[in-house]
Amino acid sequence: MVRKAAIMLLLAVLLILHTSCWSSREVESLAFVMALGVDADENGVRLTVQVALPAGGAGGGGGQGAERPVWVTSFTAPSLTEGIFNMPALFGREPFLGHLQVVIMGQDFAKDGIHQLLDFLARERQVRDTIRLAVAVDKAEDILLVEPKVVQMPADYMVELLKQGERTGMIPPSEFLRTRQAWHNRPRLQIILPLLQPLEETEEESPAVAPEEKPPAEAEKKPEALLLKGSAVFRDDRLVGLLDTTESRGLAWLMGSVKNTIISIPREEGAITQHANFASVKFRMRKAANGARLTAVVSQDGNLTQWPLREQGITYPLLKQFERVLVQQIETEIRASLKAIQEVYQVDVIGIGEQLRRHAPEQFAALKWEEAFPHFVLALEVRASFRRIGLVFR
Amino acid sequence: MTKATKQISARQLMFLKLTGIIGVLFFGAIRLVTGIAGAQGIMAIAGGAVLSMLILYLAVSVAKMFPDHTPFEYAKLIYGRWLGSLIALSLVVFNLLIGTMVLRDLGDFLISAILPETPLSANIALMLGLVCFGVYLGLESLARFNEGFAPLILLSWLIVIVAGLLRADFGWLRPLLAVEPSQLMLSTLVSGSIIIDGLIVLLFFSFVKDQGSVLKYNTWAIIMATVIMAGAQVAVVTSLSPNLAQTVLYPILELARNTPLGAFLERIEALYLAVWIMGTFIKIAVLFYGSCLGLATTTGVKNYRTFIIPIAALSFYFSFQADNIVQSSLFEAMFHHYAPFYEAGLLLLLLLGGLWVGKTGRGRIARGT
Repeated sequence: MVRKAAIMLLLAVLLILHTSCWSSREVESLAFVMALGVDADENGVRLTVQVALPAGGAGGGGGQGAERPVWVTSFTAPSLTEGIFNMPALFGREPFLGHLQVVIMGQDFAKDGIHQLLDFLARERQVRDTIRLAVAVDKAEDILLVEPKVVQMPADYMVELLKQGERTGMIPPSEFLRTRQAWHNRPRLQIILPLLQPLEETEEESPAVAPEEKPPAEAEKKPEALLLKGSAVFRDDRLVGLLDTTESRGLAWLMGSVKNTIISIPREEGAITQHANFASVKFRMRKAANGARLTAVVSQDGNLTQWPLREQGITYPLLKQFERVLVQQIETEIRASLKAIQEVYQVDVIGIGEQLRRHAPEQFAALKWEEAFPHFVLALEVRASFRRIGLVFR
Repeated sequence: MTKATKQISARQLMFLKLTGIIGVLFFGAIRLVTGIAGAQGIMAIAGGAVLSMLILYLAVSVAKMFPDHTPFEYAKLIYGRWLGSLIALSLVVFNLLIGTMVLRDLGDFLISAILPETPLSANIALMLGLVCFGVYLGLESLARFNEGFAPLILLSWLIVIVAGLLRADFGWLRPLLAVEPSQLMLSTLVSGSIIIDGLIVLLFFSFVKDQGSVLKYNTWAIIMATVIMAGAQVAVVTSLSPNLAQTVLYPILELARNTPLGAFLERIEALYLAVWIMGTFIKIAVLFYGSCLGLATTTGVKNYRTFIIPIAALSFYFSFQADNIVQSSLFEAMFHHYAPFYEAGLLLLLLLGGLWVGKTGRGRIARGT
């Protein structure tokens, strides 16, 4: 009997191992698309693809003089899917999207509507929900031309940049899954995506990227770095507005995505700075004069990283005093962001409607959220604290 | 009348039932339940578990009246040759239907998610070949093979669920109790149909050596399967959102592909799928074994193996009745809406008949006492 079971196991394993003649693909016949750019074009869409080159990519590591590991090329197609499926005619290889890491949309394309792109990405079995999406201030093609110096593979650089940017709150979360969730739960949760711009010589230095040396003339066309420029705000699938990095951080407090940022309290002697490395948000219904009100409870704490008050030692009451200032600053930041999305763009990119649905379903059901959102009053409760002060008491 | 030989233990039957349920959850089960009950699918699953426990109790009660006979045999003892054969044949068709549905599900899954260029017929034929061999070897071999394999399936589910829950937003489950009673009842029926897993216990009770433990062990199978199914549903809803979970074809696949463990160990879902596909094989093989056994008993053919090829051919034919995946999903949804009624109806018919026969003395004849 054990022998019979063993034969069955053997056959079962063979079934798993059968790779199928029909669906087999030789690695030599595939073009590994690492990043995809989509721009609007008068003839349809302009696609830019970053394809991994096996020879360049195999070496690993980065550094000057290394062979560029990707080939970036652009072409026009009547539609996104036609462009993707016509790629073999251009590459001489079949595009493989299993390693796709980033999709960048040009601003004009995003204004026209990204539904077809989202539908394609969701339907395509090779694409994962963990890929990152972002919008280019101008054209997606410019972003994909980046030649980073820190890492060899531009797509890796873009993914890490988006991850780190998300932690600072300068840009919103960029995972495709978040966008899909927003798309299926609108209008109570709308799409918001990071905004990127290539670093150019004329560009002002950013706190995120501040190269000491100017790039050589040859590299002017191909940026060495990208700038985080804030957020692209959507109504349904159309881009309706942009937020700068400060406004984006105001929203990030409410999305609970801030994990690593600096807050400065300006003083005559210099700025007192806090490195905030923890933040969370919880939504609660709190009693108010006219019934219960949705309240966002934002909590953060961090380390004191700069204390310019030479004559004054760090005391508990003083820290408490500065914590109150921190609270005021964060509250101001959040209020300014809320004003932008409620009064200017009128789109609920944070998911306040979703929170109201969760905590006060009857109240939410009585509202037509698209109309109610611009006037909805969200109560705020901010808690901030200096958890550590570094290794110096003064 | 040939008496069933005692081949398997109650624990092996428990594992067969467990694999039959959790081995096919990765197809459309979670989407089906979430599509009706939304975020409150977990309540429907709990209701389904209660329903399936009732069915299990009924099945064991019926089977205990005829401990040495298969339901195909005692259907004839109770209701006579013609009506009994009709009842037995209905059970054969029921098994064949479930087996075929699972087979088509597997084919659809493979061509949608893994092997897009491979013809559906090739996938189905390959699985059928393996199933035929499994059925040929018999119930004992299947049970032994599954006994070693079921813990692996259980483990893979636990990993996927825990990894999925790590990135969960439990707020998506709110507000609690936000489901219409009619939707909750319908999704309870569907969940029940999935957890009942055909009538495996009724079919194979007479093959069990320690029959006194069947109820206990299979209650545990239901509890374990319910925990896995509820955990999977919660993990899907809280990590995708209920609205998104209803739109994706294979929510469990999405979950397995997007879990943090997946980020650490890339494309680990291939491993889960390999294990789950083996579970699918066990389920189909057990159902086909039941069908072959039923046909052999009803027609009086001594060897059930005579019917392996005809059953496989029928299943191959029926698995192509749906034009596309949309239609096969529709068939599946319809099946789950009505299956519990058939299962409960059949069991009541056999139970009442069995009690009546017992009173009139034929039961003792049937039991040979």
